[in-house]
Amino acid sequence: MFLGEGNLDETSKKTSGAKSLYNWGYRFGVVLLCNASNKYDEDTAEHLLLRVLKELRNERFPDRFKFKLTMLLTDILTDIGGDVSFPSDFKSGEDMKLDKFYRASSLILMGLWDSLVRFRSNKNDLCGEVIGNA
Amino acid sequence: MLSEDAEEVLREIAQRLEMDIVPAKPKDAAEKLRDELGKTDVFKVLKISAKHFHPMVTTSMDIGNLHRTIKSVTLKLFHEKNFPVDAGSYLRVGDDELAHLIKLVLEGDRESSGRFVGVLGGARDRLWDKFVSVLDDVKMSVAEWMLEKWVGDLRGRRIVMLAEFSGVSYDEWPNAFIGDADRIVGEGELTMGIMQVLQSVPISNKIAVWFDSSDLLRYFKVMFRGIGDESNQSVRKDIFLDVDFPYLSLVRALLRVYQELDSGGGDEVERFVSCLRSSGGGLVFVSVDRGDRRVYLVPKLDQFAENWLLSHGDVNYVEILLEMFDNVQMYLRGLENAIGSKRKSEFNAAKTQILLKLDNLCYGLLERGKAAPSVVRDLVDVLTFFNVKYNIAFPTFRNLSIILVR
Repeated sequence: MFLGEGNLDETSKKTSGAKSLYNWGYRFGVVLLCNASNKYDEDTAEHLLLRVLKELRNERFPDRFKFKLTMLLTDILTDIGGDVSFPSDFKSGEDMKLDKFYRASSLILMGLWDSLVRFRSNKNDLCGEVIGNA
Repeated sequence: MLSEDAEEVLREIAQRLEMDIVPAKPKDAAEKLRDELGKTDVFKVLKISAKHFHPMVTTSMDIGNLHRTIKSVTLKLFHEKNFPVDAGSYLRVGDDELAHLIKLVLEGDRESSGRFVGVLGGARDRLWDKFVSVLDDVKMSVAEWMLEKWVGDLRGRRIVMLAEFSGVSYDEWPNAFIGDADRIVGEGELTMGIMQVLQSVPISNKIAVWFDSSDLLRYFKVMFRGIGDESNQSVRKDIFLDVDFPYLSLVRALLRVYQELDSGGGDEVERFVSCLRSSGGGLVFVSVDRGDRRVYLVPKLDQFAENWLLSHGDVNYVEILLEMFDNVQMYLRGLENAIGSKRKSEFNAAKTQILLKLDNLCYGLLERGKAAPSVVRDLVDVLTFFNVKYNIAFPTFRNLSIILVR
């Protein structure tokens, strides 16, 4: 299993490429939710994550998705703080093939959603992990 | 029309295979009818009884007419026995009242029927026999119905369209037949087609499958014997039983057969996988409504068996896939609650969208042994849309992500 629920760093090391994208999405979601709920409140945190999800969902082309992801990362992390690097699959300047893009973007969205589900069910444990990992 | 010889052959085939086309015997259906009488109206009882039939038959059967037939037969019997119902004006008798009367007769309830006991005499047995024979008639007419529909729909059509149950007939568009006029549907194809329908195994209330491998068919027959039995609690809860998405249902059925055989131990499961790997494909029959029936091709299943059924290290992909189906089922229930019972059509539209994407995903699993990334992205987008709109969440994308990167 490659999934990073509760064990982000270890699984990231073991897996690469497509698999780690889910972890990246999950990690970004957790950092966003935990930091935003510390700075503001839980509702605002969820609202922010839903904004990210809605905006990313609308992007069906690699360049636009990448652009939107950059903007959201910069915008949100500048506001709430947190250390999340840009996903390696999107770093390259080369054109991304559509299949690869769909796979990558789906995994990121799935990771983001699962972080929200986990946040809703067990916020304390989740945010403890982030602080522990940091 | 078919020649008389061909028709005779088909009739024989139909009769020989009638246990396949009507998995539950008419007598079972009649017994069900008797159990339900008194609880509800006759029309509902007939609908419940109809679930005992093959999905291709049920959705094509004129339940309204069957209802009228049983009603008139019953009232005629009452009339013969001087039961106090005016048979000439049976339309005025309400369903509930009729159900009550039938119940009295069938159960021979002495207290309730009181003064009519002497009059009833052998009416109870006769009425019982009538129920069985009416349902028997329906069963026997299935073969004729098949003949009529197939002959009417397919004769003179392009052979290449056979699997689609449609296409263009030579009379409608002769130009379309240039170069392949000799490849139109003939008696051989019709006979084969009818046999395929007759041999198909119902895997849900609307879907039946046929494989070219008789061994595979046998596994399915054993596994799905009780399909449509509404008294089965686990079956009643299963949201996928009433959907009409072919590949989604097929993948789920394959996984369930595998799981069942695997839990039984022995080498039966290996034989099943080996059958799948050597299978040449098959057909999925979907019967949505009266007059609306479709056929889909099942691709060769070797890739599916290779990638998803055979063990790969510690990962049990069968469980992962089945968990994903469970998650979708759980999600749909949550969605139904979130939308509210009053907005049924809104929920149905949402359900269709989600299941359509899942069906596309399953097609990829069957055909290429892999999930198409664009389809997974579509599914995630649709789920995101409904999650945000109704403020709910998909239980977990864990399984779907594993399936995607497989």
